[in-house]
Parts: sequence; C-alpha cells; structure tokens
Amino acid sequence: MSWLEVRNVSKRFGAHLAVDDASFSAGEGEIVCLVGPSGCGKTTMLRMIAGFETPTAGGIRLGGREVSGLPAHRRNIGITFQNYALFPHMTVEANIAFGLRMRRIGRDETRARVANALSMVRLDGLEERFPSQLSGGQQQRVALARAIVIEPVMLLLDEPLSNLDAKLREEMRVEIKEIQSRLKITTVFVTHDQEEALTISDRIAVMHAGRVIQEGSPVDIFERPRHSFVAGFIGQSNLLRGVFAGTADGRAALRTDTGVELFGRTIRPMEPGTPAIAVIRHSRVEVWSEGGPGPDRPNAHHGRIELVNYLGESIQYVCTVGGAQRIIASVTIAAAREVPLETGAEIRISWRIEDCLLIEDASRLEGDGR
Amino acid sequence: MKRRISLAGVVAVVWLGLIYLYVLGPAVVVIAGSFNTATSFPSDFRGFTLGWYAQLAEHGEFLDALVVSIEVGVIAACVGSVLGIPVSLALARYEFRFKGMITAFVAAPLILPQIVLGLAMLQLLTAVRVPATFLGLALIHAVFVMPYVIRAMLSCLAGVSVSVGEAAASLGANAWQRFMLITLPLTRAGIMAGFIFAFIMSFINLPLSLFLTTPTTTTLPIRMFAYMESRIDPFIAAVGSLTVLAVIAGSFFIEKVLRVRLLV
Repeated sequence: MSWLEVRNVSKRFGAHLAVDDASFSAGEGEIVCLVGPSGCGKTTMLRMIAGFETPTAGGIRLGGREVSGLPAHRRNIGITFQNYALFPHMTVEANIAFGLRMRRIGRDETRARVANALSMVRLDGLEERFPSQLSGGQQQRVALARAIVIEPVMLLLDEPLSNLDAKLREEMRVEIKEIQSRLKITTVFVTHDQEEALTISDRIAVMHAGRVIQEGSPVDIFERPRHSFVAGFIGQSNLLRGVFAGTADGRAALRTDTGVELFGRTIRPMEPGTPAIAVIRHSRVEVWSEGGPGPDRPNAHHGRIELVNYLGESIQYVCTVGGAQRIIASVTIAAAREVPLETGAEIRISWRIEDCLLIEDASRLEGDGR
Repeated sequence: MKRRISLAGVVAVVWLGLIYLYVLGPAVVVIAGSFNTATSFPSDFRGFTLGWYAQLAEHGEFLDALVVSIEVGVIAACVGSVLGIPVSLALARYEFRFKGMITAFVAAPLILPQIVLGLAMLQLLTAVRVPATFLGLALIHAVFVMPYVIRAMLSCLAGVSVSVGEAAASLGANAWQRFMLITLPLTRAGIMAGFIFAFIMSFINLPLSLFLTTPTTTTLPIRMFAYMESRIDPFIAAVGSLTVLAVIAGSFFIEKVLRVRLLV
C-alpha cells in the first residue's frame, strides 16, 4: 500500500477550481514528481499535503491515516519553499534547531543532530551565519537540513531548484537525490521542469488544469504518453495533428491536416475518423540526403531542410515534408558529421513505427472543453 | 566625465524646491522667530537670543501640559497598538469576507472630522455619566491613532514572507509559538515605528482634545492654543519649535533607524 495517498482531491478558491478531482500516490521511500506548467495546481496540491490549505473535497492519507483534519504543525512533514523561507532573525544553527526546539529535544542531542544535518548538506562550519550572509544555494541547503533534521514522515520540495543557476541546479539535483535515497524518505517534488522530473523521480504525476492526467514511471511517461498534453509537455516532440485513418497489418495510420500519410502505433483503440495526434520525438527522426543509403521503412518521406540549428551536443534540422508539414529532427554531432546537410538540401526523412505514437487529440474532442 | 544637465532635470529640481518651501517655509519662520529679540511675533529680525527658551522654566503650566500630553500620548499609543496589531496581522495574512469594508472602517478615524469625533466622545461619556476625564481623553486619542499603528505594521509585514510562518508551522510550531518566535521578532521595527508614529499623532493633536480637556488635564497643543488667544510672541514660537523638533526626531528615527516607510 502506498505511503501517501491523495484521492479525488479538489480545491476551490472562490470561482477558481485550482485542483480538480486529482489523485496520485507515493510508495514508501519513493520520490514522486508533480510536474506541470505554472498554474496547473501542483503547488496547491503540495500545500494541501502540508496542511496549509484544506481540500474542498477528497482525502489525503499518510501512512494509512487520514490527515485532512490535522493542522500543519501536527503532521510532522518536512517542507522546503521556493523562496527558502529561512528565519532571517536566526542563525543557521537556530534555523535548523527550530523544529527540535518545538519537540523539546535536549540540548546535547539537538547539537548533535544539527551538526549531522549540516554535514549531510555539506555546510559544516556555517552554524553562526545568518541567512542573509548565505548564497542562494547555501540557503536552499539550510532549508533542506531544517526539513530533514526533524525526521519527518515525508518530505515536500516546492520547486527546490528553480531559483538556482544552471550548474548549481544540476549539482543540487544530484545531492537531493542522494540524501533522499540515503534517508529513504518518501518525497514529493514539485517542478515545472520536465527534464528535472525525468531524472530525479521514481514516479511522475503530470498535472494539467488542476487534474493529474497521467501517473507512472519516467519511462512510462516518456515512452507512452496517454494524453496529447503529456506528449507535448514531456520531452521534445513533433506533434502532428490529423485524423486517425485506421489500423491495418499491425500499423496504425494517420493523415495529417497537411495531407501526409504516416504510420505509428496506438496505446488505446480509436475509431477511424477520430481527431488524433502523431507524437514523434525529435531525437527519433532520422534524416538522409536524397539518393543516399537508408533503411527501407513504411515511414519514408521526401522532404527539404528549411533551417539548421546548432545546439552543441546535437544539431536540429527543421524540415518540411509534402511542402507544408513541419517536422523537426535532432541528430547527434557524430551522426551529423558523417552526412553533413545544409539548409535547402533535399532529403529523405523517416522514423520507426514504434517511435510514432498516435493518440486522441484531447483538445479537439467533444466534451472536453474545460 | 561631465554630467549632462537637462532642462527637464532643472525644472524638476526647481519645482521640488518650491514644494518644499511651501510645506516647510512656515516652520522656518517660526523657528527663526523663536530666536528673535523682538517682543512680538512675527516681526523683523532684530537680534539673536535664547531668552524665549529660558522663559519656559517660568511657565509651569506649559510643563504640566507637556506631562499630560506625554501621558495621553503613551496611553493612546499603547491602547492603539494592542488594538491595531492584531487587526494588521489579520488584514495582512488572511482572506475573509468584508475585508474591504473592515479596512475602510479601521481607517475611518483618519477621514472623519476630528471635531466630530471629539464631540461624539464627549456625548458618549456624558450619556454613560462618566465625567470628561483624562481616561476619556486618552481613549479617544487611542481610537484616532490606531490607523497609524496599522499603517506602520502593514508596511512592515509586507516585507515578511508568509512562507516563513508556514515553515515554522511545518516544523511543529503552533499559532502562539509562531507569533512569539517568528512574527513578533520580525515585526519589532514595525511595532516600534507604529508606537512612535501613534504617539506623535496624539502629541500634536488639537481638535480631539478641545472638548475633553479640563483645567487639570490640558494637553500641550491646547495650552498653546489658549496662550495664542491672548497674545502671540516669540515665546510661543519657541514652544512650537521644540514640538517641531521632537516630531522631526521621531519621524527620522522611524524612517532611518527602524527603516519603516510611513507613507506609501
């Protein structure tokens, strides 16, 4: 059974439904990412788990116990905030010791536990500093130490990396993951960054417009998006809109709005004629110069390179197929060196059937006008 | 590098100077007049003297009035703070029904004519058969200064992040512990600023006190007002100058030492 269970939770602020019948769970010791664009309700969800907001409907169970009626200060949940929220009038030591002070822990034990927490976040020796004397990364570490020193039943991290610069972000991400797996503490990690979510989590819950629209392992979410929003939000994909044409010989066909016929696979059965989207990762699209060698596949189209973007580790080709259909291919530098291609080059473009996912186009389906 | 001086910049500086002159000019006249050897005020400057300030020692009634004003001011600031601080916490931290109405209501003493407030207090005290006493005077001042306490507190609370209190809650602090260990220490400057601001507004207030003073509870502004009804000389300018000085010192302390913005 899951350690954290959020079941059919809604939260209404006046006329605004911030969280809409959302459910997800986290197993003991797991790190689960709540990921979605800003305004999708993920922070409100976190605040309800912490006890700062009361759900309008639904239930939250922690370790088998319903906590919805419990005030925040009696939940024993560690939380870090986007703005760190350190106590500016207290030293680093007093900040970290605060939760132990509330629990009436003795002086010697407090000192030992604070020192231990500080070394875990690698800030030994900064006990006497005030928060204003620390860098953003150091403040985030103090906030983390303050949250874990109380040995909470679970950890909530609200966009812990969003205020750090790119290099520090990567470092901190690894460190959070290390600390989390060492303490085996159940963690909910809120982020708007899908890459962050893929690398750090055991499981991901994608939120959109107040709902959890898909929950699963990073591989699940990445390889098998069940919703067009998830397909567009996670990873870099071509989303080709069109109409599902039916399945024959084990391949599903779609005719795009621009008239290109392509093949892929489906996860859920669809009626022919359903508005659908073909999802193809940029990195799974292959490109050859016209006339060059290449595999024989059902998905092989003639095209033209419109634009070449150099991205350091890879090169992005913006191509057109059938005159109007735009498809982006992302090729590693090594592969691009073998067959250099330039803007205006006539090419052949292809992908494997299993790399092209056809899913219902939720935005064009009736009855989903929310 | 030469700084370029634009026409707009010159106009702005001149305009600002004129505004300052308009606002502070009268105070300068009063302060200059308090050092004048002439016996009437205002008049041409004849010579420098500190004699008018020395005369203060002979005017025991002004010193008595000063004591009354300080007592009234301290009580008003205390009561105003005790009432105003919880109101400002509620306004800054919670959303509730009629919030706009309540905000307007607690600011009402600023907008109501003070003459009306003073008269209303006199009628209220008469109706409940309490003689117009020192306490009545202090209480009506407290009502009047409360918005200034709230103003200073709200300005201070705007700089204290809500999540700091939530962090304390997540660490196990209940509402009382959060108030004592987090909110109070972080708003100490606002509380002090509100107190001083409230004291100043009570200290210089004339219209509220008009109906409620008695021969034994005369505030300094009332005493000055009574004096000026018979004559105006540099002595009253000296008393006025000292009052202005005290007010400036208090405001300076709030803005520069406590770093709380009183306006806007």
